[in-house]
Amino acid sequence: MSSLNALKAVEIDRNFAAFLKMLPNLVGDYAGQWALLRHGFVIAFYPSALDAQIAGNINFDDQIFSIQPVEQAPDELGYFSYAINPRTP
Amino acid sequence: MPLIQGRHNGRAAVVPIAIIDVAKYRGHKFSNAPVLPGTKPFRALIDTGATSTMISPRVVSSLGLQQVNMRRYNGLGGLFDRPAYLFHVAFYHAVPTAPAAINPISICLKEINGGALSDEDTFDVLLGMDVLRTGNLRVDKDGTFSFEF
Repeated sequence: MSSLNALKAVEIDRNFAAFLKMLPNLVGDYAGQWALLRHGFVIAFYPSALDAQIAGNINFDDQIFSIQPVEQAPDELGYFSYAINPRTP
Repeated sequence: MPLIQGRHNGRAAVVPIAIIDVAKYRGHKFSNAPVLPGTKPFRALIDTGATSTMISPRVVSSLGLQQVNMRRYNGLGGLFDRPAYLFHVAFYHAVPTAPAAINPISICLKEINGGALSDEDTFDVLLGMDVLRTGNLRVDKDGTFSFEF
């Protein structure tokens, strides 16, 4: 993994952890939107994943940001739930 | 509307699809190139019980997709998180031929934020409702299915 990818992965994990804590307070006003995050903070909300990703690319030359959907319910995998091994890194 | 047709075996329906990085698609859309190079077929299992599409590590490494976030899933072992990517799903008009050949595709314009599956031998992509609800899926008793979007 390149150093940029490693930094990005760390940022994504940090933003995700912070986002999960904020999520219950965001759902009321921003459900269905996409959050652009950097350094553990929400920068802005966008109507689509692509809009959030483009905004991140434009605003952060170092590419250190991530996006998250504002949705409370986790994804379900149906019959093929077993295809996921939670222990896989 | 594009119409994709295939066969199911009474238990499952697998369809060849292409996964296209959103950045690559945007670059292509704003170019004059008639052909989107580098697309390749992956085996997608149609799963109406899955709320979102997932891709195998083979797809990620084959296309060099860059992670954009994490997504949370509810599976047999409870909640777990997986790295996720941003891409489009494209359907082949016919079963794709040799890799070097030009195989017509129709691209589902909705961007998909899909997580990584664990390694799975029987398919490469779990095609979930985020893609399927963009069109009309029909499964017929004669062993065929169609998807119009």
